[in-house]
Amino acid sequence: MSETPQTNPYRDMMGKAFANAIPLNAQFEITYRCNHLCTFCYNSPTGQRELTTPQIFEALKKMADFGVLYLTLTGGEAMCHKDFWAIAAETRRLGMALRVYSNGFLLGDKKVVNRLAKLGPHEVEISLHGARPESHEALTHIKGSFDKTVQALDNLVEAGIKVNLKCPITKLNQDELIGVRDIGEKRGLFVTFDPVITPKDDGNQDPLSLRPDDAFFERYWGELYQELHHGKLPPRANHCAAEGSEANCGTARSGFTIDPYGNILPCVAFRRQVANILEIDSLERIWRTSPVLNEVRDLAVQASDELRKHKDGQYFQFCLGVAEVQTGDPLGIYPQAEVNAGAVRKTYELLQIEDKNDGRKSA
Amino acid sequence: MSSAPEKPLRHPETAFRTIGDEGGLVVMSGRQEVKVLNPAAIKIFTMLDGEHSREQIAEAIAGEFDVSAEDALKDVNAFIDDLAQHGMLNATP
Repeated sequence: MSETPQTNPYRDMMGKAFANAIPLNAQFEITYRCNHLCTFCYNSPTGQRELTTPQIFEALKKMADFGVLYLTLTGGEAMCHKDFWAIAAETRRLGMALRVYSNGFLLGDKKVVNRLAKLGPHEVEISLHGARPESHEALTHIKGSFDKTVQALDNLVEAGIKVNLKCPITKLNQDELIGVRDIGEKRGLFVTFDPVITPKDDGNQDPLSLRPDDAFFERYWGELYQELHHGKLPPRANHCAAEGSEANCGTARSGFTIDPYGNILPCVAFRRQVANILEIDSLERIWRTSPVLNEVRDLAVQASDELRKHKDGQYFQFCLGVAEVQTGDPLGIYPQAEVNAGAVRKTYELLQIEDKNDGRKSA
Repeated sequence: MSSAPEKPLRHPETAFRTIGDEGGLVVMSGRQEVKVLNPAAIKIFTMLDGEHSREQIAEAIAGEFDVSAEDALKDVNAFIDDLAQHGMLNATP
């Protein structure tokens, strides 16, 4: 009656959920509080009052009733919420698989990790901003944060908790990505490098000043990518779209986001307000009838159609949310996406690979 | 039949979701395990609440799917035993 997830039935099931816009994931930004001061943070607190803990519990119940399978607690720094432990426990009590996005600072303490392990989290995602304290802390502006985060990796691995290690690529770490990869691999962890720096949620473009220049990305998508990934080729599709999907990505489809004020958003990047979770009876009805969500789903399909017309269309990794914040148009081609797509195309051309992978897999 | 209880209860660390009429997914959170279930299996899984007996579950399956009550009970028992072997049932409901 059951199959292991690595076989086709798992992918088929995920594809069916994606095609039918059955959301399996929700990201819950439970607070904008944070113990880091990252230069490129995209959060834009408005000064409104954040949800109280009872209101967070109410939101969790609505998400569980809606059938959310994977619930991610994030922020800000989720663990800076004064009731983080109660919220995480409630997530599990309601039967949702718990993911935590964290900067790892507090997880540098073994006692904290052991407490987390008792909740049976599905995984923890940690961001590392460099291979050295100088580069990591130039972004976080917190002395000692590098050592704490690396210690967190050790603690999590030792506790048997699955870790997703991420590294957003910036001018400050672009020359030490191999070192970041090695920090992960030494602990048995795969590192996901994020080549896109996003503007702030309120449209402020300052974080983009940390983006490496175009020449770096030519190199990154060429030999550096393959070196980092042991010979694997760059991806040619959005990581958040199901294989063969007509939609460009999973916004308003595979999941949604709740901000610290309770606003329901199509995803973490596309922050059009749908409704406030405290003001609705159930997510089921709003999910199917919201004009905002339906428009966003249509836009994700239109984006695929538009990208197909572009000369580098098949190489694009395109985010509607970034496009809207950066160009004012969710279908607008923003420079980072275009540069990346062009560089990926060149890599495939250099290797004379078109529709087949020449025996090598793309990551 | 295994030593799984007569009124089985799914493990508290499991999370599951029905996907339309296609079946569903079960996640064993602490172990990063995911199972893909067909429609009958997800129906059984939803009824593993410590309140339904194996016979009651089999009756529901026979009523909903094209299977005899006898075969349904065999399937229910086999599936519950499989879940128990994978640690997806609560040992002490």
